[in-house]
Amino acid sequence: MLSQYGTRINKKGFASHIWVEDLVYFDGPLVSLIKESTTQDYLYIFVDSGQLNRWLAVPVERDSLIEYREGGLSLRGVVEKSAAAYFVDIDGDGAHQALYRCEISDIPPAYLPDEDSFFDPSLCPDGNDVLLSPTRYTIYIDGSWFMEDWMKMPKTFTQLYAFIYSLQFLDQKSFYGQVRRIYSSFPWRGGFSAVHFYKSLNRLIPSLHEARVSRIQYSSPGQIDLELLSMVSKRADELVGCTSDNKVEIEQSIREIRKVLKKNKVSQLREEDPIPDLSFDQRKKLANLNSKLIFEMGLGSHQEDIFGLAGNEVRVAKIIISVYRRTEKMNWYISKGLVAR
Amino acid sequence: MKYLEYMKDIKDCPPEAALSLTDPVECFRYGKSNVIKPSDFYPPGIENPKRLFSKNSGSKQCSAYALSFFTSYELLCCHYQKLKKNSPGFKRSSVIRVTIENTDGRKTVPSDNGHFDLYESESSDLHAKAEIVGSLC
Repeated sequence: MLSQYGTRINKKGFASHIWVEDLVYFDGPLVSLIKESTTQDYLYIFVDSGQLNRWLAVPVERDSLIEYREGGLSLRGVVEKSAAAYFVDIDGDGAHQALYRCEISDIPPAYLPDEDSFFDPSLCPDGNDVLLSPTRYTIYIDGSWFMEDWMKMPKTFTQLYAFIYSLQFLDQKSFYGQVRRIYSSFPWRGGFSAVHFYKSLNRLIPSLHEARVSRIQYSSPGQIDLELLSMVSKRADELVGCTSDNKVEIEQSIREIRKVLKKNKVSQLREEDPIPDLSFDQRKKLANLNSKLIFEMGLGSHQEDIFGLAGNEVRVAKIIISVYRRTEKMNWYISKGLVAR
Repeated sequence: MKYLEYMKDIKDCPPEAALSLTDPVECFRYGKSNVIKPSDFYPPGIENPKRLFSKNSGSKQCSAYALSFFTSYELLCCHYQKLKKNSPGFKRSSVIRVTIENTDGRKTVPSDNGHFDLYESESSDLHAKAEIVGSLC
C-alpha cells in the first residue's frame, strides 16, 4: 500500500457516511455511491489494500452523477471535477481507521481511474436501473401561506416521497436489506419511531433522487418546481388522492385496528417496553385489518412487501397509520386551497 | 457446505438457483500472485481485510461466501480490464484454471459476462487441482 497522502484529519464526519449502492462490483464493492447528508453524495473508489482497504472518496454533485450515468463523463472526469479528495482507510470490520484530505491535483496517478472509465451497467449489480435521472415536477400553490406552512408541507411531502421511494426500489439488491433494517428496527412506541423512520428512509435516498427545488414562484396561483423522480412523486400523489377519496372507510379501519392494539395493551407501551405476544387469533385479526387498510389506501400492490419488511402485524399497523397521518396533512393543504391536487 | 456457520443466518443461502453439477466443468478464476495459494480460494466474506463500509454490511450477503469463476479465459480477461480501469485497487496477477466436479459444490447459472458463483462443499479442495494458465496485467 502506498504511504499516506495529504493531511490527516478527524475521521468522525466520514464514519457516519451511509452506503447507498454499488456502481462497480466484483466480490465486493469497487466503486460505490455513499451519502453524507441530505445534500451531499460521495463516490468511493477502491484504490489500494494492505492491512486496511483504502478508498478514494470524492464529493459528487448531481449534475456530474447524471453526466457519468449517461456516458458523457468518465469516473476519472468525475474525480477531476470534484472540489476535494479524501483517502479513507477502512479495516476488515468496516471501521474507519484514518482519513486524509488532499487536493485533486495531488492524487497519485496510481490511485486514479483510467481516462476511459465510463459507466458500464454490466459491472453494476443493479444494471441499468441504477442512478435514474430526476425529472421536473411541479407543486401548484395558491392562497396565503404562513411560515409554518412553508416548513410543514415540504416536510410532509418529503416523508411521503421517502416512504414510496422505499417501496419502489426493493428489486434492487443493494436497497432491500437497508430498507428492511429500517422497517423492522424501530419499536413504534411513542413519536420517536415515526420521526426516525422517515428520517432513516430519507437518508437512504441518494441526493440525486431527492427533491431539489429548481424554482419557487410565490403568487396566487404560484408554483414550486422540483427535480425528483417523477415515478415516485406520481405514486405519492396517487396515495394522497386515494386516502382522500376513501377517508371514511380508512378512518373506520383505523378505529378497528386501534381497538385490537388497545385490547392487547400495545397502544400504552413506553419506548422501553417489549411488544407483547399477541395470540394467534389476535394476530390474524390484525393482519386482516392491516390488509384492508393497505388496500383502502391504494397500496395493495405493496402489501406483501410491507408485511415482509415490517416483520410483524403491530409494526405494519403502526407504519401504515403513520403514513395515513401524513397523507391527512397533505390533504389539509389541498382542502384549504393552498396546494392543488 | 463450507462456511455454513456464516451462511446459516442469511436468508436463502445458498440460493436455490445454485445447482449441483451434472458434468465436470472447466472454469477460470483470478489469482493474486504467480503462485497458487490456499488464500486464492477464500471467498470475499472470509478474506482479510474484507471490503466493507460498515460492520457486517457486505458479509451479510450470501455471495460473500461463494467463489467467483468465469466460464472462459477470454471472458475473465475482458472483465478484468473493465474492473481495473475503474478501480485501481483491484489488482490480480494470474489466471487460475480448475475443473470443478459434482463433489465440489453447487454453482449458479453463468451471467452474460460468463461469471458464476460456486458454493463449495465441505470436502472440496480446489487448491489441490488448480493450475496457473496465464498472467494478467
